[in-house]
Amino acid sequence: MEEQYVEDLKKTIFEWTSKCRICMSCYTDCPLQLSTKGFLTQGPTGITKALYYGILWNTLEGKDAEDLREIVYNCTTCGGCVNRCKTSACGIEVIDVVETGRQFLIEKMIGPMSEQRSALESIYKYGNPYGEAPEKRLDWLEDAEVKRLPGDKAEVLFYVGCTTSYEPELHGLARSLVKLFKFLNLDFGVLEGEVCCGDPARSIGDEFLFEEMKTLNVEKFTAAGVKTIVTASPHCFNAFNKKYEELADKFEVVHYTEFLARRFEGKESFFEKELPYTITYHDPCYLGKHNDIYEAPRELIRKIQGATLVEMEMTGANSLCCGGGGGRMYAEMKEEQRLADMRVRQAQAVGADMITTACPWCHTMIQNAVRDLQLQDEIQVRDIAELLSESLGL
Amino acid sequence: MKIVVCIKQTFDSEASISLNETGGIDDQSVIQIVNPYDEYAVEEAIRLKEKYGGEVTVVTVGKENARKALHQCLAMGADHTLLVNDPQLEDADSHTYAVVLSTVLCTMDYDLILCGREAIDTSVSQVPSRLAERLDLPQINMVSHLEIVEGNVKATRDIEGGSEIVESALPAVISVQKGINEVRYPSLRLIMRAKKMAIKTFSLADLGLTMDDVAPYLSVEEYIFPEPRKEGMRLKGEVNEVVTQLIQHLRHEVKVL
Repeated sequence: MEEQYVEDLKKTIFEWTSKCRICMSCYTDCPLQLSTKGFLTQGPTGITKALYYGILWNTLEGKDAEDLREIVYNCTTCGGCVNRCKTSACGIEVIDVVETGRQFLIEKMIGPMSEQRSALESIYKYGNPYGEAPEKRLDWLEDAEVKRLPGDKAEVLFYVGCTTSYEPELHGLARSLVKLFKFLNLDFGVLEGEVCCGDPARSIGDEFLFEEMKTLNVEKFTAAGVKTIVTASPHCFNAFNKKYEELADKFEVVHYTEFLARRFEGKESFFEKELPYTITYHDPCYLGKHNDIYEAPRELIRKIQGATLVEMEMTGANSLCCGGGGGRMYAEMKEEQRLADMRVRQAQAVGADMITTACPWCHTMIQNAVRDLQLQDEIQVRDIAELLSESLGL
Repeated sequence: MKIVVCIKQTFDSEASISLNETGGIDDQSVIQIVNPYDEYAVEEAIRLKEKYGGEVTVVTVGKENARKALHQCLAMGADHTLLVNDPQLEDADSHTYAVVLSTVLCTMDYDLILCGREAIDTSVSQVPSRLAERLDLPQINMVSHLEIVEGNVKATRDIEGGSEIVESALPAVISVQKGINEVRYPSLRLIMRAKKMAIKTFSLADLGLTMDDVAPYLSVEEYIFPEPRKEGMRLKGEVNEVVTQLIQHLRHEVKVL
């Protein structure tokens, strides 16, 4: 008799999967169908059914196990299929099945993908998936004077997140947000000893590591005594809002785009500096598809003088995933064509000379694609916060 | 098949090392891990157990903190663990480890002893050979593929320009190399569960050893950091100018041309 925990995981997978009518509607929304050869196992139904039969027939050893791992870890967890199933089929929470499947594979020591292992171990050891020293987490601040919680007290906590803290290309985003908060005379601070929100652990399938990070963060947020938490990343925002039951009713958690859209309402005249770019906005899945935030980022872009906002072929609820979610930031998955490359081509097709986004992972994926396609001279990748800060002359 | 794996807890390769007031390496502020080569050995042992049945025992010599390393091995699927912890082992060298490990192994029943090729802290790479000598067992080092064929071990070693296959009767001591397998990930849940499992602990006296038996051959005079790398030089301009500048620099400053 296997442990109850594993039995419960199987039960969840079986219950959800057996409801699937195999109507295949979800394939129209799955980015893997565009980036791979388009086999059945490279789409939502195939992924969940592969899990179902893998467990049912107990084909969990050797090559079978490796194949199943590749199938299940390929999902970007973008959420397109979940939304499609809700509107056109039977409302299966496909991402829950995939994430439960990953928990099952980790229990069976089949998962994660080998490159993801160090990310999980680093979260456990250092509080970030990159193996970076915790004491260097606030180095991006340089000499900027910002309150440091919980020693200092403030109303708003700026939760920076791991990628924005450690990736030099994203320090511009972090510093821009600090400038914008100061411009708004906001009583805010950053957290001394900030640790990962746990989202990568959850999406890769180590639920207990996620719970560990959750406990740590809830303690830290409570000690900080803030009212509002503003995140730079949609992934941290989604985790705090939907997976941290303990935070509900205690703190307001907002992604920076919604927060700034509210604060800058009616303040268009402040954005004096003209930025004559043709800008397209890439919807991060965890802001758009997962949380229905499509308008706030666009409202902010429209405030920028001289800028023209153009929409790509796949936009809003139909936006194309960058390929970095679902733990894929830490693993190289087999793709015929990279999703981020396709996204850059879509931006090019509508004549954009700048791609903006509001997610550190999307930013990194798209920036890398622009570099690989050698389009640096034609297309810039900037975060909305950076543009706002520049337009305000900060 | 009874397999014993000898492991060492080492500093995390990503950790920045600092020295304490007495000039030794400060092991309190550094996160410690199972030596990566030893992880391959543990993984290989568990795979052999899964294939042929039997049990895996992991042995280490270390301080109290080494329990963490053993918990990880238990979470990965080891059956038993054993820690030799004694304040007299503070300055242990390869000889010390080999004496202690061989003494422990003399009390055990085993078919195969696995080790990592070296520990990433000192990279001395002597323990497997010293251990084999002390136990009077055949040894095969730096193994990148392992099979059990009709009760014998068939090991592949990477050598320059190819590979060689060495067969040996069991028991034998085998040190493994990177690439032999892909190490599994023990989830935090399994590590937490492993923390509740027993770790047998011995002191030197428990093993009937004295300080004289384990006195190291090697003594450390001083730990020093390598000199930081000097800042590079960036030459600017058109290709022709840059090449001229480079040649001038190599000829007149570095004086290598």
